[in-house]
Amino acid sequence: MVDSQVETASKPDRPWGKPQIAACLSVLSMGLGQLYNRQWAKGVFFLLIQFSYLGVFFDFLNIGLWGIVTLGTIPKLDHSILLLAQGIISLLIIALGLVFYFLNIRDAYKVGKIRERGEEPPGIKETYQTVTGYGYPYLLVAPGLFLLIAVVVFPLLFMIFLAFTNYDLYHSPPAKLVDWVGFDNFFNLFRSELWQNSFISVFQWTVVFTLVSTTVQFGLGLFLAILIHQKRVRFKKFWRTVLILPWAVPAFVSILVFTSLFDNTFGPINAMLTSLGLGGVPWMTDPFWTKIAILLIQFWLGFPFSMALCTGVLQGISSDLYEAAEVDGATPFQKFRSITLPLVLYATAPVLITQYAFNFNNFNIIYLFNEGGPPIPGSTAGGTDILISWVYKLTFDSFKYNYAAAVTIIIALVVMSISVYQFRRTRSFKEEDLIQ
Amino acid sequence: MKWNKWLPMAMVLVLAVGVLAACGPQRDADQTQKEAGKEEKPKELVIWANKDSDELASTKKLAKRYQEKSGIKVKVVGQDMLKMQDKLNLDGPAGKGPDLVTWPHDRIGEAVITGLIQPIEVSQDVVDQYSESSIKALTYKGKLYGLPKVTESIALYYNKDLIKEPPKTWEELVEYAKENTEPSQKKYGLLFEGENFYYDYFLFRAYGGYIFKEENGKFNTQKVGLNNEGSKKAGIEIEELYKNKLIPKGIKADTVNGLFKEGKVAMVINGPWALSDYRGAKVNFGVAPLPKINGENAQAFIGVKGWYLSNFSKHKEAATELIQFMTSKESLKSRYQDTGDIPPHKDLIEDPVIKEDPAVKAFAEQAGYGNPMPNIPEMGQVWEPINNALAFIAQGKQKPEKALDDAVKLIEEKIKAQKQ
Amino acid sequence: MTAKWQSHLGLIVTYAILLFMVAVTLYPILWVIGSSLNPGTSLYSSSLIPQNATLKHYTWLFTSPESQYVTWYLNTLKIAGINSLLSVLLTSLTAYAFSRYKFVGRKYGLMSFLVLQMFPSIMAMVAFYILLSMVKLLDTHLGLILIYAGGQIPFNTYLVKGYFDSIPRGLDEAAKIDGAGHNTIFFRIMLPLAKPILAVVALFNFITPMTDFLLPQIVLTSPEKQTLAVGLFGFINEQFNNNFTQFAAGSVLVAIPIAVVFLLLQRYFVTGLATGATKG
Repeated sequence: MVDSQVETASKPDRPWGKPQIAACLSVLSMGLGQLYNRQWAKGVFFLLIQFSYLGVFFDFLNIGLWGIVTLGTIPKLDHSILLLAQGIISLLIIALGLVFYFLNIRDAYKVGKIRERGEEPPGIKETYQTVTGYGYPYLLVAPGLFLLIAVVVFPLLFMIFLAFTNYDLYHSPPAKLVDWVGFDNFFNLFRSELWQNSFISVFQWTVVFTLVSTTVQFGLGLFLAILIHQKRVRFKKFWRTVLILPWAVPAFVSILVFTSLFDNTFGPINAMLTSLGLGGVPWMTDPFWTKIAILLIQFWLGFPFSMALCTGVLQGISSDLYEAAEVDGATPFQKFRSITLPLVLYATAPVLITQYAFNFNNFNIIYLFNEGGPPIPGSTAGGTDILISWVYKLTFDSFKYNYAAAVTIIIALVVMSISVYQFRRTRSFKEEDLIQ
Repeated sequence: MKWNKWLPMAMVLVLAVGVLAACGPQRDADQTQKEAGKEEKPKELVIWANKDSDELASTKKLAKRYQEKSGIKVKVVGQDMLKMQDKLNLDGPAGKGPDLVTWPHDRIGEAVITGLIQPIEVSQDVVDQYSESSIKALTYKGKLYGLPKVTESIALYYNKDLIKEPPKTWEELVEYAKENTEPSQKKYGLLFEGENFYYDYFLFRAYGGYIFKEENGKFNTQKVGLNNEGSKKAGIEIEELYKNKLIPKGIKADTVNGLFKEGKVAMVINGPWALSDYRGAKVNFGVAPLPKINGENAQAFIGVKGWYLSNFSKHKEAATELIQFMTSKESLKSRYQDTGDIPPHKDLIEDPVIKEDPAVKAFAEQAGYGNPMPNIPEMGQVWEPINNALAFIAQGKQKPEKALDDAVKLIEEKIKAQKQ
Repeated sequence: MTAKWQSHLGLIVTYAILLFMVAVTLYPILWVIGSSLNPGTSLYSSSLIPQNATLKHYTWLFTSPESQYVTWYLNTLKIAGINSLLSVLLTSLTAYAFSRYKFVGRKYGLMSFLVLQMFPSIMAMVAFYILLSMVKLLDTHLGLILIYAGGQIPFNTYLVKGYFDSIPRGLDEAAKIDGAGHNTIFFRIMLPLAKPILAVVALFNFITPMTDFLLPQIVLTSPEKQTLAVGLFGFINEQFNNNFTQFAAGSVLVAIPIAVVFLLLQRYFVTGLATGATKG
């Protein structure tokens, strides 16, 4: 690099242009390039921004970067987990700083180009107009983005980093320091008998639960929406109002109520079945029946949302389509197959995907209904544990935060990649960009 | 030639490396060993007390008394007892922590390992005031981490309208239950949460079962005794209860309480937390210690809560004195009067206030025979497997021998994984 | 003749199915109401139609010195209200940008966040605790609200953007020609037109704090700052002292306002949601 600099600098026929000089000056310090470009106000402003950034954040970043590399050096004094968090925040702050830094360099370069062409650089007023015009969408998005970084990106990074540490009960601050251990957690997970013993069955049930609960709750919602949408059905408002109620009751209340309704010995459901002469069903103690109960509850909880959504879509479908089909002599089922279903699916696909993903990680219903039980002999997972509740049991009970993080990452990668694949097939991505 | 575009980038890199290399805090290596010399009398001590309203009020009252006595201000902050450790973990190092904390004794092990509490130094006379089991509960690896304020144990509630005197022995009790149980009429002789190890522990103990082998006052977590001869005998005993339909499968505390309050059950095994509920239902009931089993007093689990010394307390000595005041005979008596918490103080058990309440006396007596739940973190790995095994036994899914062997294998695996 | 019969039969079947669904829907709800009127404390003795119905659990909630129900209720209303407003503001700003402007990240930004949020949220709790403790927002309602308001952005932005997209672009372009600025277009044209979907977003975000019992347990440590859901959950979750009938009474009083708001907004609901979710 140095050689080439000397070499090129000695070539008189390739003089340093204004853009390069401005950019390099801006690299040394934000605002220098702008000053060189004779944009005085902008240059001073940039300088101020840079110095206040450094002034405000220097100490924080200093400790944060050191912290994330070492995770502390003196036990009791250094809190590894706080240092890790500070390190992640530092990285985010630096990323933000770098964005502005590169914008500053690019700006210096571009304005340099303008000056090289012999034109006047834009003045304060023009700059202001560009910023408020071109930058307006960024201003709109900024507050939301800031919160999203704090609420979504930070926890994600935190978990990812944790998966590469030995953070558990015996390596826990303040008594002990946490250390980086590379991929050890992932290897140990695959080696541990605890995990191998029930993985397949848990995974199968997770997939079944996700597919069946989401598909049926959506199907049921659509079915009811269609029933009520029929012209000849009366009291439409009444049906819709009552059927949307499960959505209005807090889910955890409903689930806990179902727990008592399904009680083996004293629950009203078994009492009803007995009085019908069918005999009680071991809802809480037999894995098969517990699974059935959980699915039924999830249908109950989930169908109103789909019903509301589908009702709206149905109302938006032009009746011409159906009339045309009727003229062709289509049966109601044919109308459903070739008009309603494709249109509804097309319209709701992205929402449906998020619902599948939600149910894949639907910890609440599993945990609140029967804590993943009933237990299965010889298995670390209960009969209705899905992956996420199983992970929670195996790691949080024993304070293995590092394993918890590692498994979560694996699960998340699976769910996210399937979702991305599905999302890309929906129209949201195929749509032509309509904005000029 | 694009070199002129890359030059600024290169400069950025050089700058970045320069900045990174100089990172890190500047501090003296011996900063940690600053504390030395005599401790000064503090102006203020802080207590994190349980948020429960009666308890908080009682603690505040005692704190005020101490303030009048010693001139040291005591600030009491209500906290969720089960979240105190998480909070102390961050607040302690930041210098915002309290001097005294409290939580159930079975979480002491975790707190010591993560460095949240420190041993206290008190004379043997002080220690001797309390029941041995409660002191054992607050001792971890041979060191005492606080002094006890409450002890809890299960005992036998009996419905006086159905049975005048509770049976003297477990064997008689089971006989009685066999004769007086009629599930079809929801009539039961004896009910308890039989699929919960917490309630079954005394059966395991009665025949010589144990959780971890005790060696020199410490638990050896390599030696789990939940599938030894005695434990298996207990397993068979439990299996019998369910086989003979004395206890319905899958029964939970809620149902036990409901049936007892309806007057359908002669006897239930439960803790002092059920007292107010039963009193409210106007059942004519009495409380007795668990009947003798195998010729000995039943050793049930006891739970203890004490005041512990935070590892971040800057006034170790003053805080230790405060602990002693808070758990003195007078303080615990006042606390009992405010909250009904049964004190593990030897003198108080003989005190008229307690002696005159037969229910409390029964609980206090039973607590005296009991074993504290192990306070080591490995205990956390025991509950689920053993409870599952009990459920399998109760439901007839596995024979006791197999169920307990499997459970112990799982417990050992889980403990291994925890330390991995 | 047969066709007519078939059609009648169809209608009867339709009504039968609807009635069945209404029964299934209402049964658990009525059961909770029944339990809340039951004199005992346990689930075991509860029934649909209690023998000696009593309102004592309701009076207990409001009058007992041991009960913090009113405090919880006020806390929750405050959190829910502020969260609802803040979320509508944040979401509509973001959605406006996504619907009408071109900027870096427009194409993949929203979807990326939707996907990132599929990361199991229980694992994020540890991170929230530490983050809030670092910025000194632990045990404050503000901290809780900021997490709610942030977390809801991707999905609701998706809905609102979809709705904005359905508003003819001609409207704002005409306004632009008339000399209206960015802000004017947003506040005077877009927001009023998007009322249905904004109502949906407001409702969603009003409900979340009323029903979530996990996050407040992590964020709020002082009992007097606690929210309804956590407090109610405590009634039945205390290991040795659960009180199902009080829980039922408390839940009924939570569900009623939500249900009423729901029903009032229902007409916005169906159109808003459908347009938002399907035009996105």
